[in-house]
Amino acid sequence: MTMFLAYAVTGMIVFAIGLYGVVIARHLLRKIIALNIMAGGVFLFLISIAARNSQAFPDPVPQAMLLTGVVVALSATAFAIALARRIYTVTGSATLSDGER
Amino acid sequence: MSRFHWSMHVVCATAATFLAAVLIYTVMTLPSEPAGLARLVEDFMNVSGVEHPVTAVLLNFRGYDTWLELGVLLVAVLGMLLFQRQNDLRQIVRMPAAEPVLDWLIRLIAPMMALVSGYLLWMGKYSSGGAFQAGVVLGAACVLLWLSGHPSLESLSGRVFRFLLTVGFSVFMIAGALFMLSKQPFLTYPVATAGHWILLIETAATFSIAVTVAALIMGLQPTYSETEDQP
Repeated sequence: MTMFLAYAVTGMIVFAIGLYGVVIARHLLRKIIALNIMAGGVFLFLISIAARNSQAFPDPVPQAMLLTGVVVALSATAFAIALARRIYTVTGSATLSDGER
Repeated sequence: MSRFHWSMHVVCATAATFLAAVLIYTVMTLPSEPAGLARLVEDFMNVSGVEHPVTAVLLNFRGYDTWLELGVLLVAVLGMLLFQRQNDLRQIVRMPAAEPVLDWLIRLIAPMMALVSGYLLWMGKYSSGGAFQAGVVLGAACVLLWLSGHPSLESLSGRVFRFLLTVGFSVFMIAGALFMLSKQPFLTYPVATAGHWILLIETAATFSIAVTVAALIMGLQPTYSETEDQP
């Protein structure tokens, strides 16, 4: 139980740090990295809850969600980087505009 | 304004800390029901067609998740290829590096990776493994071939590439819909042959995941058209 808490609390802290980064970062690449840090926190939480719910075998449902989540995170990151580079190619800047012209 | 005002940092940091505190409180006060869904999965293992609970959840009990996740992969790679204005991997093949040691190493490692991938795919039925792990290893082998400028990727025609991209998603969908003819719900396989269907879907998904991962990584390479119209 304490093991679960240690990992789950760490996961939540990592999630909040990532969220802070997403909001505060200006450069799109930093935002993407921060999103990945958020995902890391969620993954840590899911895998720790799988271990907490273990009987003979750790709960397979969070494990399966994690397994799909990792691959989705990878593909979403690659797509986001492609988007960010397109934005850079078109506007010449790797940050989002403030909405003022 | 290139940077946020310091007060913005303080506000965001406070909000994030508050959120972290709320989340930690939630985690600490989670009901200590120890089973979760583990027992439910255990009870239905005999109708899943496989012996490993994670594979059973991925491919049978929560098939929707996995099927649509293959859809997400497909959409991601389509979006990427749209931005890069490509429909083929051949346009992003690198020139071979003139390094005999690297070439020798690739000849040694790439077949081993394909073998490990096949093993992981087969192991999914009994133990940790399955389409995702196998697909990622195979995709990494493709990336390795590409990085070393090995000519084998050039022989992958656009048609084969697009077929491999979509085969996982479509085989999963067809296999899921097939038994709707015999009045079964979508993505439900008959108990007797469930193992075979799962292996078939996983094999198709392995190729799709491998090609998707490889294309996503290779597609991030700047293309010639892009470097030209850069400001």
